[in-house]
Amino acid sequence: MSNKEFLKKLYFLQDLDLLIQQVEDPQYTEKTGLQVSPDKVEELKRKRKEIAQELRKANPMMYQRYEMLRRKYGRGITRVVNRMCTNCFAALPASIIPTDEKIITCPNCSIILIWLE
Amino acid sequence: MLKELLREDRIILDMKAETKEEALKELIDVLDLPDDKKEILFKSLMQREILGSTGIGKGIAIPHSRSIVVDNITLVVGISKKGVDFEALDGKPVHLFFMLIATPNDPSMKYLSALGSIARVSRSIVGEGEIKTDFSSPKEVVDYILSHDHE
Repeated sequence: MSNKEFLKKLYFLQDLDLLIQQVEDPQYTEKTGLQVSPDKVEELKRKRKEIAQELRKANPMMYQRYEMLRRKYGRGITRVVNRMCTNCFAALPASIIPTDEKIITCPNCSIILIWLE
Repeated sequence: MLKELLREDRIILDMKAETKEEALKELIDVLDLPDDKKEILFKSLMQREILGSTGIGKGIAIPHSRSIVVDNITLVVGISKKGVDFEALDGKPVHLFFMLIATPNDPSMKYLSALGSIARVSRSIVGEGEIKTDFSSPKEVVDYILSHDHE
């Protein structure tokens, strides 16, 4: 799996993580009245597991970092906007240039970075 | 809350969509995002729909998601005169869409509050009977929605 594909799959995984977190929050149903099917949530969790296994196999170190950061910040990957990390809002040093050659992490907060300008 | 989120340039007066997929794409198009971001957002919204339709019934749908593609909490309102088959809970076509997108990190809980406000406004609108779909300007839509926002 190329780095580009890995990152694309990783932020899809994060979307799934955020969705699962959202629908399992008791306040969600309380405030919105929206219902979700528990069977479908379980199905989504199975899908999440499959993608996670694929990512773990492709790049164990980066996947582990994602999980560690997710526990710490609630997410493991974030966008770079105007050369700034949108997790810790630190400006990135000029030496950091977007490339497909390697996966880049924030030198300040360690989060995995993606450029989606 | 809704007053801050409603923007006249993010209102569609007469949606062309006929299906759920087309409706989401039409709503996303308002955001003027590059194609790769549109695709991410569409996938994210569809993923939520798989868990259960956000078509809450009586002609209203609230598609929503957190997504990496937006920088701020974002609301798009769409009106469909003919109605869209959105696989709503009551099977009725949807005429009024509130698409809400939030950033992945939402420390102020703005997202849940906004969803709550939209749900409350929706209940007030359907309580009135028929949903109004004939608007001559986005401002009229904003006024219509805000007239149902009794916090």
